Amino acid sequence: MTKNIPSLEMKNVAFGYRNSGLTLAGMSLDVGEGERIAILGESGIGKSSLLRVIAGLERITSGQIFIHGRLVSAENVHCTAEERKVGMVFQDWAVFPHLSVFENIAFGLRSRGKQNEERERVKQLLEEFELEGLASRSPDTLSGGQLQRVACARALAPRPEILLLDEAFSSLDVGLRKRIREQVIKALKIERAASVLVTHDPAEALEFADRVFQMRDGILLDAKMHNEFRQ
Amino acid sequence: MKIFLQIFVFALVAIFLAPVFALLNEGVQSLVSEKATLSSDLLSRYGLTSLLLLAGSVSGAVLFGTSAAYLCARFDFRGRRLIQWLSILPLGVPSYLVAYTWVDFLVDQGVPGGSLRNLPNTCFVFAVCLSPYVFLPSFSAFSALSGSLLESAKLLGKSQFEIFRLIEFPLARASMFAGGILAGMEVLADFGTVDFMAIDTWSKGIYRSWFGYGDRGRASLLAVILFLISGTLLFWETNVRAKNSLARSGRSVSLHTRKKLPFIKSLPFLFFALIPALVSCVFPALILTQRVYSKSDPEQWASVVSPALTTLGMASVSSVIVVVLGLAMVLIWRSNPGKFVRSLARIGALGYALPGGVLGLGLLILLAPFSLTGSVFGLLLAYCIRFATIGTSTLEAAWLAIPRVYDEQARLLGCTSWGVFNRVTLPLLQNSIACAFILTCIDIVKELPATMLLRPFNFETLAIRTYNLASDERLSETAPSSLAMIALCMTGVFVAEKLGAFGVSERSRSGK
Repeated sequence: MTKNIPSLEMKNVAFGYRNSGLTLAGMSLDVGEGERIAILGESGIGKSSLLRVIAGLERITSGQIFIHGRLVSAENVHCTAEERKVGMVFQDWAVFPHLSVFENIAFGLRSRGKQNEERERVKQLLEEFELEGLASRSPDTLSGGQLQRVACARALAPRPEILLLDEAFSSLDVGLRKRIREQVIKALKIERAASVLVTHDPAEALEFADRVFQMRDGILLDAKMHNEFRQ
Repeated sequence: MKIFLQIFVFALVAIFLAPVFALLNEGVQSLVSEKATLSSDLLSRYGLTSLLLLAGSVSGAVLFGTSAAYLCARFDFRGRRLIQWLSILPLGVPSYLVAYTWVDFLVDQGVPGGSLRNLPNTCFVFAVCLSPYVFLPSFSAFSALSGSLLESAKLLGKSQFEIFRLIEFPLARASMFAGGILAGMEVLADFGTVDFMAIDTWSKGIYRSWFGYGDRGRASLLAVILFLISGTLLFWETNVRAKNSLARSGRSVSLHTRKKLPFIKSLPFLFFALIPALVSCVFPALILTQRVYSKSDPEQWASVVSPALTTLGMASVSSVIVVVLGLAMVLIWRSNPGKFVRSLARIGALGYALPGGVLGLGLLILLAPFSLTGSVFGLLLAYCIRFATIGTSTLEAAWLAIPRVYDEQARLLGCTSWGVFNRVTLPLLQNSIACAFILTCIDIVKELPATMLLRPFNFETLAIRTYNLASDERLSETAPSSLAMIALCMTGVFVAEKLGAFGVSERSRSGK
C-alpha cells in the first residue's frame, strides 16, 4: 500500500445541517490506496453524513477534502457526486427496481461512457459476487443477500477510487453478512480501491477494516491500528 | 438556471391566473360604473340554494363513500373486491348524464317530469356520482389503520362500536372530510345537472346573467365570488390533507387483518354500498343500451362518430400537455428551486378551484381582443388550466414516493441531473404518467361548461351533443352519445385502476 498520495484526505472538515449544530466538527482523515477503514459509532451521530460529505452529496462548511490529490470539497469548491469517482452502497441498497440485475450493474458504466467494456465487466462482477444466472432477473424477485451483492457489484463496476459502505451489511443475518463481507473485501483487493465502512457493530468493523476509528461529537477518536483496537 | 425556472413558473402562474384577473377587472369596472349590482336578494337566492345543494350532496356522498370504504377496508366477505371496484366506477359518469337518463326513464314509466326536478333528487344524483371522492381517501385511511392499535383497544375491553367511535372514526375523519370538500367543489362547479334539474345555483346564476340578461359585469362578479369560495375549499382541503399526512407519517405500522363477515350478514351492507354504482353506472348503462337497441337505427351511431373523435382528439392533446406540464413541475421540484418558486407553483394549482364556467367566462373576456374566443386554442387552454392540477398532483405524489436514495445512487454512478431524470425518475414514473393522462382524459370527456362557452362554431364534443339534445328535451336521442361517453370513461377508470391510480387494489394495500 502506498501512502504517498492518499486515496482520500480530509482536513479539518466541518459540516452541519441547516438549523442544527455541526455534525462533523473539524474532522481529519487519510485513507491510503487499497486501504480499508471502518468508523464505529452509535446511531445518529453523523456517520452517514460523513460518507455523504465524502461522496459529494452534501456541501461542507469548512475544511478540505482531496480524492487522489485532487481538491473536491472546500468552502468555495464543490465537485458534484457525478464528478467524483466514488462508489457507495447504501444501508437499504437502493437497487433500481425498474432495471434487471445486469442493467443495475451496468448502470454506472453507461453513465461513464464505458459501454464497450460493459458486457465483460458485468460478467466478471456477476462471477465475483456469485450472481451468475440472475442477470436477467428483476430486483423484486431477489432475496436480501442477493440484493446486497447486486448493490456492491454495481458500486464497484465503474472502478471507483473509493467505495463507501453505509451500514451495508447490518440488515443481513450473521452467516450471510460474513460471506458477503468476504466477497466485498476480495473485490476491493482486486480493484485496489480504498474503502470506508461505517457501522455500529465493533465485530464487523474489526473483520472488515485495516484501521478502525471511533466517532464521537463530530470528530474521530481513538484512531488505532487493527491489532491494537482488538486488544 | 434558478432564474430561468422562476421565470417559467411565474409565466405559468400568470397564464393560469389571467382569467381570474380578467373577471375581477370586468366585475370591478361594472361596479364602479354602476352597470352591475349584486342585490342581496340575488345573492341570497343563489347562495341559499347552492348551500342547501352543497349540504345535501356532500352529506350523501360522505354517507355512501364512507360506509362502502369502511365495509371494504375492515371486513372480508364474498364480493368485497367487486364492491371496491364498483365504488370507484361513478368517477367515470358525469352527474348530468345520470340525471338525464333517470328522468327520461322515469318519465317513460309515467312519473311527471316536473316532480322529479327538485333539490332532494339533485342532491341524491350528486351524492351517488361524487361518492368516490369520499370513498377513495376514506378507504385508504381505514386500510392504513394499525392492526396492533385495534387489537389493543379490543384487549382493553372496547366493543366494535366503541372501537369505531373512539379510534377508527377519529383517525379517518380528516380523510373523509378532505374527500367531502372535493365533492363540494364539484357540486359548486357543476352546470349541466343543475341546469337540467332547474336548480338555481351560483354557477347557473353566472350563465343566466351573462347569456340571459347580457350582464357581463354581474356574471363576472358572481364568477369571482364562486372562485373565491372554491379556492377557499381547495385551500382547506390541502391543509386537512397535509395535517393528516403529518399525523400518519412516522413508524410503519402492521396493517390490520380484515374481519370475516358471513355472506348473509353482509347482504344489507352490500346493497347499501352498491347503491352509488347501481344508480350512477349500472342502471343508466342498461337503460341507455336498451334505448339504443330498441331504436335499431344504424344512423344513430353515425351522428356520434364525429363528436366522439373530436372528444378523443381534444382529450388526448390536452392530456399530453397536462402530463408534460406535470413532468416539468417534477423537474422543477427536483432541482430544489427554493421557497418562492414552490409557493408560486402552489398558486398555479388553484386552476382546479376554477369551475369550468368561471374559467370559460374569464377566457372569453381575455381572448376576445385577440379574436380567439370560439377557437380550439381557447378550449385547449381552458382544459390545461382547469386540469393541470391532476397532472401535477399525480406526478408529484408519485415522485415523492420514489426514495431519494435512487437519485443519489444514480449521481454517484456518474449521471447528470438530466441523466437521473431520464434513466431513473422517468421510468419509475411510467405508471403515474399513464394514470395522469387517463384521469385528465376522463375529466375532459365529462367537461361541459367551459366547452360550451369556448368551443368553435359547429364544434361538437360528446358532452355538448348530449347536453344540446337534453336541453331540447330530446332525451331518448341522447342514448348513443351518452353510452359512448360512459364507455370511454369506464375504460379509462378500468385501466387507471389496473395501473394503481386509486390505491384500492390489493397490490397498493401490500405496498408493492
